[in-house]
Amino acid sequence: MKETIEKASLSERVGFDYIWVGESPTFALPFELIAAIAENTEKITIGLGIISPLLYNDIHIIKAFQTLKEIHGNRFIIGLGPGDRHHLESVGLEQKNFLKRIRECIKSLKEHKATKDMPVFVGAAGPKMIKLASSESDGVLLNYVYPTFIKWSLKLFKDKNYTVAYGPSLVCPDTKNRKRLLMATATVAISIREEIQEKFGMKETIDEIKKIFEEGNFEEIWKYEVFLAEKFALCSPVSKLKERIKELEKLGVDQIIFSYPSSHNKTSIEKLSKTFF
Amino acid sequence: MRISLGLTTGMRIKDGLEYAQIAEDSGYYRIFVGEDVLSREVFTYLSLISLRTQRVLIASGIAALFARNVALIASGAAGMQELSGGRFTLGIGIGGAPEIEKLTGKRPKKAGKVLREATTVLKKLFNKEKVTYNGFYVDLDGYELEIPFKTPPEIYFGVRGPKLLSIAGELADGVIFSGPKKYLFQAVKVLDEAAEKAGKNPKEIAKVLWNPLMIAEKAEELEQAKKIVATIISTLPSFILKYLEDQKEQIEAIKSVYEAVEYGGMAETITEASKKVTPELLDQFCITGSKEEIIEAFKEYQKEGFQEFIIGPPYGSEPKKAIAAFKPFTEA
Repeated sequence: MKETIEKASLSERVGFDYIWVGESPTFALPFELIAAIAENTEKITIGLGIISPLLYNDIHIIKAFQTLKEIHGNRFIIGLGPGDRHHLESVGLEQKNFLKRIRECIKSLKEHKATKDMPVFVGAAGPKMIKLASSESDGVLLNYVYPTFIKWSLKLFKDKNYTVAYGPSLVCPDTKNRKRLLMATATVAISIREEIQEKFGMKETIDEIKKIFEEGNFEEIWKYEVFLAEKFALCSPVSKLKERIKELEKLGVDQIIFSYPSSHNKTSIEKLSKTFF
Repeated sequence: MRISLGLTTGMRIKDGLEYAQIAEDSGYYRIFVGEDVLSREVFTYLSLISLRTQRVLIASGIAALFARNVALIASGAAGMQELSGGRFTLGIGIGGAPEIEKLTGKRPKKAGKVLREATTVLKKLFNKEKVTYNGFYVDLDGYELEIPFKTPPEIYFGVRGPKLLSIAGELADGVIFSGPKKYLFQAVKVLDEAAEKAGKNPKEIAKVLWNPLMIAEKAEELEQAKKIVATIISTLPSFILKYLEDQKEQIEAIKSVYEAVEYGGMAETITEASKKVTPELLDQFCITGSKEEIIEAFKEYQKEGFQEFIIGPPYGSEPKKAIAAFKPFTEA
C-alpha cells in the first residue's frame, strides 16, 4: 500500500489528471486505499474502477464516499461494474442479475444527498452493459483500447456519453516489463465474452491462450505476443503511442487509463509522463 | 491502566479526527470506532483515523458481521492492519437488529453460529490460509487475502448474552463489555469459565469496558451523567436489567417516562427521566465523580479483570476538554 501511495503522489506531481483504483475482494477495501491516496495527494481526481454492487451494499458505497468527501472534498468518481466472476464465486456470490443491481445502485447513489453530486461511471464490455452505461451513468469505462473494439462499442451507445478507454499499457521498448504486459493482456483477452470473441474472429486464438492458462505452460504465451499487444494494450514507442492516443481521441474517447504494467513502478510512471506532459 | 477513546461512525469524521488527535497527544492506548450501521462506513472512518495518527492503537468496536460479506470484514481488517502498520484490532459483533434489517432486508438470526463461523474463518484468513467453507453465514470457495500485513489482527467480540460470551471465551482475543456493574462482573465469570473450558488462560482474554466515563467535579456535570444513564436504561434488553432487581421500581419509572414520550419532546423526557436515576443506578452504569473517585472505581473494575476503559461518547458539553482531562490517567 505504501508503494501505491507513493506512485499516486508521483502521478499527481508529474501531471496526470486522474488516478483509478481497482477492486478485488482479496485486496484491502478500496475505500481504505482511496483514503490513503487522498490523504497523500492534493487535488487529483480519484476514481474507483470498479466496485461491484453484487458484493457491496449501496449504503456502504454511499457512506464510504460521504466520509471521504467530508475530509477531502468532492474529488472522487464512483465506478460500478459486475465484478470478476471468479472473485465473486470465491466469496459465495453469483454473477447474475447484475444489470438490475447496477441500475438500482446508480439510482441509490443519485438519490442520496451524500453522493448525488458525485460522478457515477459504469464499467462495460458487453453490449447490454454498454447500452446501460451510456444512457444511465455519467461515464462509460470501456475495457478496451483497440480502435476496432472502441468503434464497435461507441456504435452501441444509446446516448453520447463521457468515454474512458482502459487497458494494459507500456512505453516500449521495455524488456523488463514485457512479460508483465503479456500476462495483463492475456488476462483481459480471456475475460472477453465469447460472442464478442466470435464477432471479431478471435475465439480460436483466445481459446489457445486459455488453454495455456489452464495447463500453466506460460512460456507458450510468447507466441501470442503480437496478437495480444496489438489488440489489448497500448504498447508502442513514444511517437507511435502518441499517434495511437490521437486516434482514440478522434474516435471519441475522452480519457485513457494507462493500466498495469505502466502503473507498476515509479520509473514506468515517469517514462509515461515524459511522453505526454 | 489503559485509557482508550470511543468514537462512532455517527459522529462527523472531522470531529472524530480532532478527538483522535487529542487522544493520541494525551497518551491514550487505543481508539475504538463503533459502527452505527446506517451511518458512515466503518473501515473508511478507521482508515482516516489511522492516517492522521501515528502511535495510538486502532480498533473497530464493533464492525457488524450481518452488515456485510465476511470477505469484506477480512479484507477491511487486513487492509487496516497494513495501513496502520500493525496497530489494528478487529472488533466484531452482531450490530443493531433494526438497522441491520433496514440495511439488508433480513433480521439477524443465529448470532452464535455466525460469530463462530466468522471468527474461525477470519483467523485462518489472517493466518494467510486459502479458505473453502460452506456454512450458514460464511460461504467461501478457495478465497484468500492478498494483503501484505505482518501480524494478524486480534479479534475482539462486542457481545452481551451468556451464549455469545461463552463463544467469546472459546474464540476471542478480547471482549468489549457494557452494562450495569452487577451484570458485568457476572459476564466476566461466564467468559472466564468458557475460556478455561476451552483450555485457554482467561487472563489472556482482554476485557475492555465501554460504559459512560466522565470526570464530574460539579453538580451539573453529575446531572449530565444521570441523563446518559437514563437513556441507556431505556434501551437495555430485559435480560440485563434483571441483574438490577433491587432497582426495579426506579427502572420501571425511568422506562415509563420514555414510553410516554411524544414526538419532539426528547430533551425534556431525558431530563425528566434523569431525575429518577438514583446514586445506585448511576454507580451501576457509569464511572463518574472526582478524579480520586474515578481511580477508586477503576480499582474495583480492575479487580474483576478489566484492563482497558473507553471514554465516551458522549463526552459532556466540552468534548475536547473532557478527552484531554484523562491525560493524567493515561500516565498512571
